Amino acid sequence: MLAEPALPADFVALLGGAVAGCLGALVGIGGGVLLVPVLNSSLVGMTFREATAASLVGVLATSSSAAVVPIGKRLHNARLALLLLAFSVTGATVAGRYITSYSDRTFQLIFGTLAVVIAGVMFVRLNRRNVMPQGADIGTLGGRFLDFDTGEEVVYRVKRLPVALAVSFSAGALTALVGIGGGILIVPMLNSLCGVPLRVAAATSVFMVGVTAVPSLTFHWAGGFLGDFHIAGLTALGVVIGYQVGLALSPRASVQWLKVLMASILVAVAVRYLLLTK
Amino acid sequence: MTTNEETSETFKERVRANWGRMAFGGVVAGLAGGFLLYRLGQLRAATLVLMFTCGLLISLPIINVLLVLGEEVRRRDWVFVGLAVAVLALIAFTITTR
Repeated sequence: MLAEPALPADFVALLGGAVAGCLGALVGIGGGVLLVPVLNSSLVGMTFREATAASLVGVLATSSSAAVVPIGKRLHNARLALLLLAFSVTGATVAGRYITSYSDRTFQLIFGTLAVVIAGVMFVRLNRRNVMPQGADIGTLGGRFLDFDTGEEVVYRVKRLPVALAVSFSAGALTALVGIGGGILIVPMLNSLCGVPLRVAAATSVFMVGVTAVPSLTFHWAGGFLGDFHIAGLTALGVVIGYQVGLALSPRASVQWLKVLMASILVAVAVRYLLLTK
Repeated sequence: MTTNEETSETFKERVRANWGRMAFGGVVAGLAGGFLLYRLGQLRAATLVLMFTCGLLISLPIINVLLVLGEEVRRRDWVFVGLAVAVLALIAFTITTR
């Protein structure tokens, strides 16, 4: 049942969802990495597990928002997503059965450490572009698309597939356990380690996080953690509004700027989990 | 010059895009309607509307995978058909055994 109306918490949930949705459109993360700390703060007052469940609703909203992207600008690699989904959904299905078995602090420390590592990789490989010569063999999972920045066709091939599969499994498990969506792992992995251009990695991730969030949210809903539909709904409403803003900003955002933004978010998340939370 | 195959592709893409926009519109309407009912003090109705919208949000990614499955069946690429079926089976397993 819903609680009595409280406008400040409403506003914080709506604003947090809007910021998460905007970043979802810009860098392809589901937004859970921002939503969980916001919803778990004293401003909204949700417990960590409730925040996780509400965050997963926001992640699903981010994924559904991608449906309004114009056909010609859809860059997701459906085949690559399908292969990675087999592993991320498995990870979510396995981990979802343990959502009440570990302490919140344990997951915060694990995720904060991961955020530091990924941010480091992003900064080190800031100027690296995953582009091959035109006419190169793209393999079964590679692809080509028109880059709006340069007006040229971009050709890429997927490298280090076993790494992608392992990270996808982990991302799925983390989606079920802490409601992060998994994009924060999948996008840097695809871009920095597997040779997929950032825009394709982001679009593929948005496609993936929605599917991975389904079993995760199912576990949380069944466990009674999705109690406050009002805050979850407001968060999702903020996400869909923010996603449209992000789409409008996207053509003016350079790939390098997106990488810096993403690494900065990761550092902020790491500080939140490793230093500020006791 | 446009071939029949290209025309067919465009038609399918438009059907898929229009379906996506309709579903997205339903999600936005459900979320906004639920919030409005909540502010009006209709807590039970708001809960029902928001629960239904959550159900819709859960169904959208599943339908997206079904669309990819249909595309791979059309291409007769059975490896990716198998992958799509495996993903759908895992989700069904989760929902039925949660």
